[in-house]
Amino acid sequence: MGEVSRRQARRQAVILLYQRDVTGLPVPELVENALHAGEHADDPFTQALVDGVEADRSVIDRRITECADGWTADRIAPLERNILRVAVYELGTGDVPVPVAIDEAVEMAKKWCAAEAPKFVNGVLGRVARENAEAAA
Amino acid sequence: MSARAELEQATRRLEELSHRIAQAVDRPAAEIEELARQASDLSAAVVEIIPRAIAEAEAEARGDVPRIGDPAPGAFVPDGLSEDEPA
Repeated sequence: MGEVSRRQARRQAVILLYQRDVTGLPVPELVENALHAGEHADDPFTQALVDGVEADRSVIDRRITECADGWTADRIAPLERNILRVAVYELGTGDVPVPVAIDEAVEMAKKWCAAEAPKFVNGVLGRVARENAEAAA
Repeated sequence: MSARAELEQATRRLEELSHRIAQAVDRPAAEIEELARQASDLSAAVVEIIPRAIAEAEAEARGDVPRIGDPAPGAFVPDGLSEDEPA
């Protein structure tokens, strides 16, 4: 299978996490299913994102709730929630420049979600990034 | 039906089923098993629909597929400049 860009890997990670969120099926089963469908679900970056979000999900959801004025993570639509989870995880690792992590999430929200989602995603992630920077200072 | 509409419908049905399973603790085992089987089938369907719904949204964002309300290809779109139209 060909080289997978980080953008494609993020896309696949969000899809796997979205499927997991809605169905409750285990990640290995979803990965197997995606591989059968010809998706790049075994890409190492995809796996790192999915595993990272799964391992820290409660912490990530708490951060989302703290930064989403008036919204708790469990009340956010599942697709937006999983776009946010991947981005909050990436912001926490520090492996990706902050604007890249935010832009990638906003672009996914623009393409996949309702009209108001990109602004919401941008607002939540901007606040997470600001608070991360303040905590690190 | 669009993949996104299918997904919305299937997700709603899955939520309803999960709720029914949670409420069915005192029901006969066969009934609970049947609900669980339906939930399993529906989960598999949702897993299959999600990538299609995402691909559909991406195609729409690229302009590959018309959005609801777009004129059909070749359809007459009044521009006020046609000789048959009042100025």
